[in-house]
Amino acid sequence: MPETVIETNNLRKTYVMGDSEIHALDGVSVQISRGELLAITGPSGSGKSTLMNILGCLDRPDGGEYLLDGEDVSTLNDNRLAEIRNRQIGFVFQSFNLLPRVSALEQVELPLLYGGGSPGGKAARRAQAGAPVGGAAGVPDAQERVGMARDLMLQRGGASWRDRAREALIAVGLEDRMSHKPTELSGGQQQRVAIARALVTDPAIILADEPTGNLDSRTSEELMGLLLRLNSERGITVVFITHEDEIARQTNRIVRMMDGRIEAEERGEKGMDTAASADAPAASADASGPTAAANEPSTPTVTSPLETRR
Amino acid sequence: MRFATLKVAISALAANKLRTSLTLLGMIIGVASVTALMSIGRGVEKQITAELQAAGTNVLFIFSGRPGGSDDEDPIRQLTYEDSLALEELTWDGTVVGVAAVGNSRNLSVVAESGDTRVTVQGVTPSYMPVNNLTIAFGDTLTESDLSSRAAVAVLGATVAANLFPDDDPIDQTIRADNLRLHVIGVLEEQGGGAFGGSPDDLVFIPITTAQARLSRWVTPEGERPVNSISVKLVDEREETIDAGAASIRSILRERHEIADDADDDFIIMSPKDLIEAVSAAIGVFTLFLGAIAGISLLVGGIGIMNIMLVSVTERTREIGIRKAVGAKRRDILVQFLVESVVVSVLGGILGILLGGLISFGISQLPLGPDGESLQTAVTLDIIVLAVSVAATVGIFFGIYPANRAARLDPIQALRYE
Ligand SMILES: Nc1ncnc2c1ncn2[C@@H]1O[C@H](COP(=O)(O)OP(=O)(O)OP(=O)(O)O)[C@@H](O)[C@H]1O
Ligand SMILES: [Mg+2]
Repeated sequence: MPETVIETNNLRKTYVMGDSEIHALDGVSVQISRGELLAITGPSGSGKSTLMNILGCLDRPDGGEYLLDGEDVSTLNDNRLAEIRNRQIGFVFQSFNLLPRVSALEQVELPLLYGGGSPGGKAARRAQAGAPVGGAAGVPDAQERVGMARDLMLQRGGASWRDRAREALIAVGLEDRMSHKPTELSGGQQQRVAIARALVTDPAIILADEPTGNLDSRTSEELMGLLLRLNSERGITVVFITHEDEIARQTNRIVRMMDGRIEAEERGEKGMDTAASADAPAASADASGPTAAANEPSTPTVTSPLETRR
Repeated sequence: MRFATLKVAISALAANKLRTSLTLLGMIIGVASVTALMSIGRGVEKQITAELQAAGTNVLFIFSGRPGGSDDEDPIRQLTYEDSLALEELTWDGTVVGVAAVGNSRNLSVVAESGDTRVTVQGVTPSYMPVNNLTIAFGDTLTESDLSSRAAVAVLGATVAANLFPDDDPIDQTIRADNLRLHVIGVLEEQGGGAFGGSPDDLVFIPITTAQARLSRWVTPEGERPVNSISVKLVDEREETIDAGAASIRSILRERHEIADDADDDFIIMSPKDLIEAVSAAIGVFTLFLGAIAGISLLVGGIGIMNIMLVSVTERTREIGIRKAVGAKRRDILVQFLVESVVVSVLGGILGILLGGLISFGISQLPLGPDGESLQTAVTLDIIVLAVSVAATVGIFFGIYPANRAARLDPIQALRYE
């Protein structure tokens, strides 16, 4: 059995506007396994971001259950949620959400600042495992990065915040932009900083809400490549929202939303070959066709759900 | 608190230099006015205390009146020259070294050949000079024979001498006070001080018997000659000596004034310590009053901080959202904004003290008195401590509301804020 890291049961979120109610989430049940790469698609307004914000503990559902690592998140207080956002989940936004006037290095240090944990720890272990993500064009290849990370490791006993932030920036290929402020970076580079920030506390899960929505297609490809590699090389569970079929297809699984519900689930091209999901997960094993969503039992397969474009 | 929080606060303040400096200015003005005004009060207190101390801390000062807390309505018996003579017996055992009486003083216009001035003429016993640590600069002091013969002689304070005889030697000259012709026999050493209430420099001293005969012939129903006050100088300033001296004086005076055992004293014996304490307390109230007036501007400065912090929280809503999204807790955001306002207020407090000290120094250089005397000022440690702690309190008090508002923002709403 693959370990389930995220499980929601009948999640609801309702916005009241005047006397009309908007059911942004109308009973969403989904299970995500450790190490899974999952794409969420669906038309605009279908509730994707609402779901993502709840999964990221940025928002609370009005009803239903959300179990993160088996823990019922809806009962946790604000401080515990902040800790989860800090340590267990890295969130990447469409609009980057970097702090103004702050250098890349300090942006990435920010979560460490609020973590309060001891420097070193997981990051040090990871660097020893030689896990930096493989090379995109024009940046050092994996081999070199491992070397750079090692050098940093050798200079110290445990990794300081600064060193860990540096490592994360190296991992996203920004070793020569560390002191740049957001206004001095391209959109793609800003999003890389945001990914480094999501990565720096070594979270088990990265959630990305249309991470390439504001970027041109070439840059989008590069960034998606980065996210996919984080999944395949580091085993991080990656869930992202996208409107691009091509990108969505490169995953283990695609969840399609419609009007606040999961309309359909579909296997991606990557299949179920990740270590975590290798031994036939119950949640998605019957994925020869799209898995039926809980609230839409046995709906016939939507043959080409991903053709619906924005 | 993490050091990083301080860094974040400072860089946020540095990002908006003009706004920060204007807010600072509000704080600086508030603290500077508190510091400067209170330094005047403290300066006055210091000056008067120093004068009292110079007069000797082993001198008991006796005057007519009911002690505090007495509700005795009976008429009191005036202190008299005869009382002071009776107290002389205390010198026999050596604990008292001198008893001086000060008769009714009169403000007269005094004329000399080369000038005239309006001064207070005071009848005293010869012991007045040693008891009050006054020394003669030129000529002679008053003597017992001057006293017994009611001699028309005068010892001048230094300022009076300088005013009446700018060019000449005053000794052996004659001055006229009203219809009283006085022979100048001596001039006192300059004593200084006295910005508030009679320095000996401004007085003319004559034998008390002369004053009683020529200036004020009033006698009490018992036929005794009233005096303003009696000073008793003790052999040292130890507390036991002072207490014992006061007790002996009390029993002699009660007996002379025929006071029943259950009745209150009709005189007040004040030790120098009492006197200094009483004066300090009175001036302390005055100082606090000055401080409170200046405190209003500090309040205005504090409201300025709150205003700016509220604007800042609104402006940085998105930033707060980002910080929360990556794991900042309520407390982290609260501390961040609180540190910001406290940094402004404490920095404003420190700069304000410097400016206030400068103003206070400026005031002490100004010739404010009628004769160009200046007002002494003192920026004491307690003023500095008070100003800084009030500034920090203002920072926390006016910072807590905006900071709390920031801390309670919902992460997702803060992120959506435009
Ligand atoms: N704060 C809010 N107040 C009221 N309605 C809201 C709020 N946030 C979202 N909604 C509504 O909830 C529904 C789902 O919104 P959501 O942002 O989740 O859509 P989405 O699938 O992410 O769309 P897109 O692809 O355009 O980003 C929409 O109809 C939206 O209007
Ligand atoms: Mg969205």
